[in-house]
Amino acid sequence: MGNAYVIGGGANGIATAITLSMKGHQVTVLEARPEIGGRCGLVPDTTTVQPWAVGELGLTLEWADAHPTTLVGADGCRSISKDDPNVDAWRQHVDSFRDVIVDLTTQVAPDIRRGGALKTLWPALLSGMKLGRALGMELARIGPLSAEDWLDEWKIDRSTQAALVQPALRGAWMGPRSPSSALAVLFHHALSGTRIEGGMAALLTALQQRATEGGVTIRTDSPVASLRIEGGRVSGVVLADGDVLDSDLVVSTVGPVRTLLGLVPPQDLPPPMYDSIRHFRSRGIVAHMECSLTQPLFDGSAHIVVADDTAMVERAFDDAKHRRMPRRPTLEIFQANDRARILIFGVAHDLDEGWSQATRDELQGLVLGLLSAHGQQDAIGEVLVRTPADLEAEFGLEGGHLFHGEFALDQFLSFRPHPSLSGHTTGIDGLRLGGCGTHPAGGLTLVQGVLAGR
Amino acid sequence: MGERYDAIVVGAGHNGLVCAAYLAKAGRKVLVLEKRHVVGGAACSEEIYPGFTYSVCSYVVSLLRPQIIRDLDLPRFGLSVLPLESTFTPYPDGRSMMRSADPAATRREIAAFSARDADTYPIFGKAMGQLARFAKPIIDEKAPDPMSWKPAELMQLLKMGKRFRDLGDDLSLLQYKLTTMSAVDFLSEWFETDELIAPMACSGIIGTMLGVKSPGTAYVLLHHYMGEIDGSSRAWGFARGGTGAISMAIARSAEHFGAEIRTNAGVDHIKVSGGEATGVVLEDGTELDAKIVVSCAEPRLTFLGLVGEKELPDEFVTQLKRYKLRGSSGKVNLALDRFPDFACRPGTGPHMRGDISIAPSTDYLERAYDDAKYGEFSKKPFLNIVFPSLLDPDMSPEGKHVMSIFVQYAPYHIKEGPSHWPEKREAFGDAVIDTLAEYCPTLKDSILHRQVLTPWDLEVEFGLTEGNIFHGELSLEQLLFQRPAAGWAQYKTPIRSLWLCGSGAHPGGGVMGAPGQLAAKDILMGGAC
Repeated sequence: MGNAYVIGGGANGIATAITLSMKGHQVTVLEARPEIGGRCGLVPDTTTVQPWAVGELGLTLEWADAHPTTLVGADGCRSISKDDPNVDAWRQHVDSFRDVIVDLTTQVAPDIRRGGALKTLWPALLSGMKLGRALGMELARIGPLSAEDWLDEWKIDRSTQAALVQPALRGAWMGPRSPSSALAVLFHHALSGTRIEGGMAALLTALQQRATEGGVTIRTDSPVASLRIEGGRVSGVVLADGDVLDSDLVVSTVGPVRTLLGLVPPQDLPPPMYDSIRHFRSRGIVAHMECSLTQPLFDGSAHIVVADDTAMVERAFDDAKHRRMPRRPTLEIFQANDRARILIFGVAHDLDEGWSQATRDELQGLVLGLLSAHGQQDAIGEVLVRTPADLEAEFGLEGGHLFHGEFALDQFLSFRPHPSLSGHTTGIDGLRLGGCGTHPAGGLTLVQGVLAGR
Repeated sequence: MGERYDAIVVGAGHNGLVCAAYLAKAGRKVLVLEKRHVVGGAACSEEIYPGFTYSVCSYVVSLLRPQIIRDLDLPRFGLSVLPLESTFTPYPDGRSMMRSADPAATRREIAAFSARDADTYPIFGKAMGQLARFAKPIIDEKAPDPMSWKPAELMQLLKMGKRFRDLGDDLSLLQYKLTTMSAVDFLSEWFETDELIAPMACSGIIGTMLGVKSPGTAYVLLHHYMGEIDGSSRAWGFARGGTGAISMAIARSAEHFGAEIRTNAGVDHIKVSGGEATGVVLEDGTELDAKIVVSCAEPRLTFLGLVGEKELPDEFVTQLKRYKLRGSSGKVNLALDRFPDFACRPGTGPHMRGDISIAPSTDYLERAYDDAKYGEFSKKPFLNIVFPSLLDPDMSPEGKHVMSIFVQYAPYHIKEGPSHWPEKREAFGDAVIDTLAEYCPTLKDSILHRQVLTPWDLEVEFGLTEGNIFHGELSLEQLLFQRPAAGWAQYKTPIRSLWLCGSGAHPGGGVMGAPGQLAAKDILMGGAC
């Protein structure tokens, strides 16, 4: 086994490196930024991380029940608790799909091409059969629904709905009234449920420790300029400072579009791959605000959604859709240790007037105004806002999208990022794809770190 | 106890008539009952203003199945379809684009906006034609039940699977994308010009409460290409005499085969005894008995309105209650004193003899949808216009014209509540005329009469629940084996001897006739009557 390089030192990058090292490779992770973790620190949500992946990677972590979500809406601040019998009934319904969704998520996606490997189809078929007739039909029915229609069927009021849909929408380009947003919500809730004790910091520490044990070298401040490809095979990685690292195995976790259209020299990209990837949609729809807190926000809950109801979330989506400054964005707040990280939903990556200091300030004013309107003006200390354009520039996220690509019916499972890039391959020998832009969708699951490395 | 029929068809919509005609042709004693004074349901022509005939609701012949035309010998009974082969789109900046059956002319028109798109257009058309060939059998066969182990169902599924596989990787992926993506996302993979994408995307939203950027709206684009491969049968067009002429031809054919059709005969309820339909009771109290009852009415109306909840399994009632109708469109018909020239391209040339789309940009269409999402009619609606009088001069007095304007969005559920539509009717009509006047400055001065139909009117007058022109949203979870409800997509219903044959059954809405024909086929095959 020779040298292998993993591009990108986010959680998935490190996880991929660990998997490769377990297979006997000498692995180096190349991270452009001064520290590892990528954008993980921005969204400190560990609930979608799959215990299966953590087990495969041999990480020692403690699990706990996910923090209850607090909803801040027009009628004040309340916890979305299990006491609401309608929410409870709905959660049980979601639970009935959980095993199958976790199965589909943690297996290699079926290769659905005509000449595809049949053996990749069986596990998915078997999992599907576990559902049985009634649930199978129900899944086919729910999939194309809008989240609001689905939750209406469960008689969940539309303000509570906002709290349930908001976490799922950060990875999609949809509003709660978009068809198939129900599937995004179903996937999110079926994949989450437990969180890692100690949060993202604990996860990153465990990953780094496990990587070190496995002999993985992590090089920070090492941005990659391009890949060197000879005769359809990877032969090395070219760093921004001109250094060339020889290797015949490279796994890129920095996003499929950025990898194939940014790092692979255009003349070396097989034309079918170009066609496969150029339409992959990754329109960022959230901005990020990081702030220090002088006192806890609202009731001090670790996870807060600020939205009146689904109509407000939908209107925020409309603003992003029309590329204009959101009038009333909705917020998803994570707070811990006197710091808050806030996802601002409804922010277009392609704002008509463009992102600049002035528009960034305007957005910041909007969010602070919204928090003030809820009486939180005294809690906020230092503030740093990152627009989707900033997220793209700073973290290399294509379109500023947090998960390297939208969740959509044609961009999940075998379709993520494209059927011809099945099984994390690229059509270029020795170049593999990992990271959130590959199967499965659904945010940070760490599953890619296991599957892409194999 | 009245006369006993083999079959009573509730509703003389085009599907009900098709079903009746097939049953009568097979020698069954059939009675069709229609509440209104004319047959056709939403496919009707009426002289609302003296001398001017309106195709009141449905205004184009979309995909009327060629075998129905042949089997029922419709041309002999007066059906004559005039081709409707172009789409003209004016833009606010004075430019315009006409896409027609002439490839060279279409190429020139598109090239004025983008040479690349002009090159891509025929390639796209070819790919879509291949997909249409794949999808066409789906609308000509009953929906297979994926959960059934019956050999016939399995065979049909396998055949469908094989056809899908035979498409090859590229086309089968394209088919999947077509089914799941939004019309705009799908078209944006091919074209760069918004002025082209917008009018093309419109065909994905007609009749639905979705926007051109909502996932799942790309699918209906395919219908446009299915028409073309029906070839000489001219599945896309305008019926001489208006859409009602189609219904009239089918009715005459049905009567020729021995069916009896009664108008002004509204059904009060369907008689059910011991879980079996035995006949109907009319609004005037007349009881009529039959071996089977076939309902052309929309499913929720059929079961919750005509049968009654207490006769139905709870699970089925739940399915019906969440069946999405949500009408989203209205109609404005105008009688015109003279032709209203489009400023960007005056005259009554070929560009006025197809359909005309007011869909200048995808943002425009989304804004129209945004209004509807929050319970208002679109201030600037999407319009689809036909001048029937240019195609068939008999529709209006000489020199005068009829203008048929399909309007979207007009959501049934306005925020004041649907029953407030009558108060908004004229304001809605004004919004349509004002929008059009930007393109046709002389329009306002040439209007002799205006008929405005809101979704509320469509419900009250035509029995289209919530004003949905397709008897139920054509969304992915309400198609194929799930239309109108999972497990009940093959025209049979939980009530024995009660069948569905309207657009609320597979394969759905549009003046296709397919649900009526397929229902009749199943009824006869099973020996139900």
